[in-house]
Amino acid sequence: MIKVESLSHAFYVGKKNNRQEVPVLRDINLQIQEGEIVSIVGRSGSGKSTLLNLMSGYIKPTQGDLYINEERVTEFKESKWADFRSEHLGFIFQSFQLIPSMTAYQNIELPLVMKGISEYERKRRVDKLLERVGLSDFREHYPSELSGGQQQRVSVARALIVNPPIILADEPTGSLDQETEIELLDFIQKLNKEEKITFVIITHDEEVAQIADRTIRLEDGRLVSDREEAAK
Amino acid sequence: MRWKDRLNFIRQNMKKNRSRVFMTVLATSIGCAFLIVLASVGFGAQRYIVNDLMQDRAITEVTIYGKQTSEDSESPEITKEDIETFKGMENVKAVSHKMRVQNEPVVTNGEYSGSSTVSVVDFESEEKAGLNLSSGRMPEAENEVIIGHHLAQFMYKESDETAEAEVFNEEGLVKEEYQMDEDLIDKTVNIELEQYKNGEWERASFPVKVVGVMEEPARDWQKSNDVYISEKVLEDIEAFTGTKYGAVIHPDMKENEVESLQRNGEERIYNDVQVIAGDMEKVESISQHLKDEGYHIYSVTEELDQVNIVFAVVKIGLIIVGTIALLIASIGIYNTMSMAVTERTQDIGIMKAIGGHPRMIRSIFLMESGYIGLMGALVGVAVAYIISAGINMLLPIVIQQVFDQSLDKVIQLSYIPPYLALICVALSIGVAMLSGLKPAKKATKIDVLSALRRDV
Repeated sequence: MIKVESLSHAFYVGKKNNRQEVPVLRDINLQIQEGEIVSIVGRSGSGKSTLLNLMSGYIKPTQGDLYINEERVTEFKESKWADFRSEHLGFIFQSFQLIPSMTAYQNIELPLVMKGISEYERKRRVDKLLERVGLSDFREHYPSELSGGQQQRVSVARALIVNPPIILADEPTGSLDQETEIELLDFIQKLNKEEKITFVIITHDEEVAQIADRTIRLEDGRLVSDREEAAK
Repeated sequence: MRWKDRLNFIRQNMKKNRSRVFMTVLATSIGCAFLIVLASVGFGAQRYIVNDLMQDRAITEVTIYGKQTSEDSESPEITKEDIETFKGMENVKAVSHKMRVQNEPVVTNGEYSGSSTVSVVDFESEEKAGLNLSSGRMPEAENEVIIGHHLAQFMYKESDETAEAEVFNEEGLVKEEYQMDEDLIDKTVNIELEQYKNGEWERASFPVKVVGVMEEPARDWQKSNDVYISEKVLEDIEAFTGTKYGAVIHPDMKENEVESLQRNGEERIYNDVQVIAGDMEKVESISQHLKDEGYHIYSVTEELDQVNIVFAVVKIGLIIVGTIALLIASIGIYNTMSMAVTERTQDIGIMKAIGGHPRMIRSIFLMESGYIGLMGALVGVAVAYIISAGINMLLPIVIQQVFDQSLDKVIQLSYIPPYLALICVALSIGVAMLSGLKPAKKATKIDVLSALRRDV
């Protein structure tokens, strides 16, 4: 489902004639199968967020190749990435990334609006998801009127609305209390089991790592371990 | 993204900063109104002058002087055949064709007499061509005629006591005290002609009945002393003069000159031919067609072309000045849109992160600036119409106050043709979208990660 081949990434600092390369990821190779929950762990600066950003197409690798759903996405142009994201990927962010001027309903609806789906179909799908994440009564609430857990559920619903086969989550529980975190993780497991959605989760939270099928550890931009969890 | 959703999106975004959008729309509408009002003065002046040039039917009239011939045998004059060709042409309403009696006819009624221009016309064609009577009716019988509006004013009682110079005023009309005070309608008048025959001058009189008087010519300086007769009367005249169209033979003419004047069954030649177009727009195509056919023509539209060129230059000048106002407004739009992009950077970043296409983001911002342009233009057009109406209402009052003169005719100094308003709307939207282009491009270039980190 996701194949990473000799992937490297570096940032450049300094002025043009005195540019210095700062490597962030070095020669990463890994494969993620369909229906897996994979957690990527590591200390700050280990390159885990960079790896997820590369998978999301927000940045381009300096070297190596990346395949998602058999497609070589490394050479994708920005517009092609936009189409690809809207079809194949769902995103969950640590700080939810909801549009503050839009209601919960409108935030969830946004990916469908951008895809040009009819209003009737949008309503049907959003209503269903709102119910599923237990926010039917909060549909007209703005993000500022929702708790952190509710906001994250809106964010999850927005990621699910286009039925993506893969969801990329960047520290999804980072802003949640323990109780809400457990709720979210249960929901992720449920989605994974029922709908075979592949999750790639960046975390430094042991609880999250525990629900994963595999945990990939990065250190200083290098993949140091890739092990399957014994029990979920 | 659907158009309806884009519009909703734009409206929602605009609502976020109503006062800023309002000020931008206000600036645009002022620019737009300024442009329209300025140009409307040019349009008003042009319309006033053009209308003056185009009184009555003159504007739809194409005068034909003759025809270019390739062969010597072909006559360069306009014949019956040509008239029929004109009548058969597309968009031709009527063909006015006259033959002038080439004599110096004098019209008499009792003791009164006066010089006149006698022409043969086809009354039916004249009626179609727009000839109107101020009184009476069109002739039905062959000896019935209609006369020009001023004919009676050319007639006076000849006497030995008054010198001719005394009888006429400076306009060439008979002074009121010498004029006939009777109406000529339903009266029989005589058309008197002279011809040099068998070594002496002979005089003949052709009585005709006046059944109608033509309307006064549109232009004040035009005086009409015409008498329109039927072809039958001309034939009688020709029978007396023995020449074509009653032409006068002078005693000092040579024999071959006399012979050329004599009628020998040739085709009639018309010397005053006008083709009347169905409407003004058709004049140009008819003129072109006639020119292509080799006719020498003149129409007011040819003169109008010159006037229109001058006014086109004036209007372009005024529009350029007006457009400067619109360009200043566009700086405001640029500013508003740049601010909007900066304010919405995070939103744009989120949209891009979850699959928003750069093209869609650009189109949203372009539409938003176009929308501001449209609203500004609509308000501007409405304001311009109000100002224009105000100018037209106040102008006569100002003229009366300043020059102490009242206007006998309504002058529309400001005139806004619908297409000017439409052009202005299009221009405003265009300028607004152009000013939104750079901010829109900036929006598409927003870096997702920077936007999500809120560090832009």
